[in-house]
Amino acid sequence: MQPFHSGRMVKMSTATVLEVRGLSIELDARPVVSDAAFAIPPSSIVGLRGDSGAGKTTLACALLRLLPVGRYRLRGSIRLRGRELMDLTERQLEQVRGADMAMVFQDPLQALNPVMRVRDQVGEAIRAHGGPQKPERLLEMVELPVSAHIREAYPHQLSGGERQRVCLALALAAGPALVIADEPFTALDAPRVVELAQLFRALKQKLQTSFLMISHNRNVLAKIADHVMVMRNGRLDDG
Amino acid sequence: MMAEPFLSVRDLGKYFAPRRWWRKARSGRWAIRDVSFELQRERTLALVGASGAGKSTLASCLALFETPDSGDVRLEGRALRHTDVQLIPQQPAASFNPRFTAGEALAEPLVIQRRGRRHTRREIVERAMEQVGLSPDAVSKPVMEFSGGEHQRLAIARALILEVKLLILDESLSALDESAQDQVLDLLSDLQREVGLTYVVISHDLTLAERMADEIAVMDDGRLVEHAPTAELLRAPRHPRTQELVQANLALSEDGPPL
Repeated sequence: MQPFHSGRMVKMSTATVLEVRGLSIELDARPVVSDAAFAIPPSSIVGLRGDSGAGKTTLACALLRLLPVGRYRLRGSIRLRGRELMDLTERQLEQVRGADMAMVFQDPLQALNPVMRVRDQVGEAIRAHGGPQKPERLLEMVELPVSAHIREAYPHQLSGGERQRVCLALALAAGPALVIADEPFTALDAPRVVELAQLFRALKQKLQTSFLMISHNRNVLAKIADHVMVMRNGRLDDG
Repeated sequence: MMAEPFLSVRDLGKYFAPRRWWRKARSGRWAIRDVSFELQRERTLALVGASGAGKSTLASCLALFETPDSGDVRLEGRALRHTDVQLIPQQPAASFNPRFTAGEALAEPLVIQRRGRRHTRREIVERAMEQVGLSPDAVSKPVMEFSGGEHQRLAIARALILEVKLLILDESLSALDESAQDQVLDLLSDLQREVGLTYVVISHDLTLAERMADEIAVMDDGRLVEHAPTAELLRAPRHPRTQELVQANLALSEDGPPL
């Protein structure tokens, strides 16, 4: 058994935000990810690329222990700021998800509540984590214009780039140490990709947050990531 | 005298009015307006632009899914007909009946158009599958068991089965990963030479447009703002929207400046 640490206590002393060792994932007894090992240092962007079906999203969901227990089997170690996530109960995991490690999902339209205004959704995320911030502050942080047009809008009224930023604002609501972004650049045109990539880098510096960025866009990752990993048939290599 | 252009689009416009039965309709919006261009046979035109620029509306009008509110589309000097053009959608997997086998999915257009008989249809289907690099043995495999790249091939085969000459590809390659994209690109250029196809490709990705297209047209707010041969447009973009696209594209390219 790993000794139990509260996330906050270890924050100052550990050099890595996330450390994964020997992580294997099986779906219905078929290996999907084999023996993955990597570390994510504080305030860094780590890229993960690979062809579709290579197991990128499965790995990302496994880090948050989001895979359904019945069909998936996990082995290995996932340590977030020194705290072993594999030993946590579902109740304990709920306090880690969003608070210490958050995720931005591939399709913002599916991740957002379609019948709730942007301001209320961001407010809900802040309240859920007991944060003192104002929704406006968060929207400003992701460089969305401070206007009623955005705050009062429903998700379908926003452009793809704006939606992606709202999702990012939700992920940042509790000030997590690590944000996993799953294909944030797909469906955006080139000028929007450039803007979003620059935003990720600015956030990394300003908030000292780390990002695990999944993308099949080789060039963007090469430009903004401090380190890129490649996944092939469930195995991780350095890119 | 110039030869008659293969595809000629004149002053095309599509107006969407909000439908509200409980009160008077407020003013609608021109999704595309005054779009005119010509395209020669066996050429590829890429339509690029930001989301909401009207690319997909234009594609729907060209594929005759929508009736334009102004202007017209002519093919070889006559009005465009349903049997001239096919559209390959963004998510081909969603465009197949999930209960069909590959053979049934490909034969459906023939059935609808009342072409051929049962056994000749089977021959046509197998030939079409071979044409797009799928094994004819897979004819009885359910469509849902194919991969993303194979779905794309099936959609192309289904489009070719009616022997159309004009294909509209609406973001058809953006969901594929790099290696699958390369393969489908190769297939498309082979088919263009063998069958004599003309493509209109809708994409938000200028890199992809650069690889596929002989000429590029840029759309902004429903209008076609610039149309030029690919190399020329990339070298000397004139419209501000094109300049923005080209610059961003350069910033994202491998040997471009750092972000």
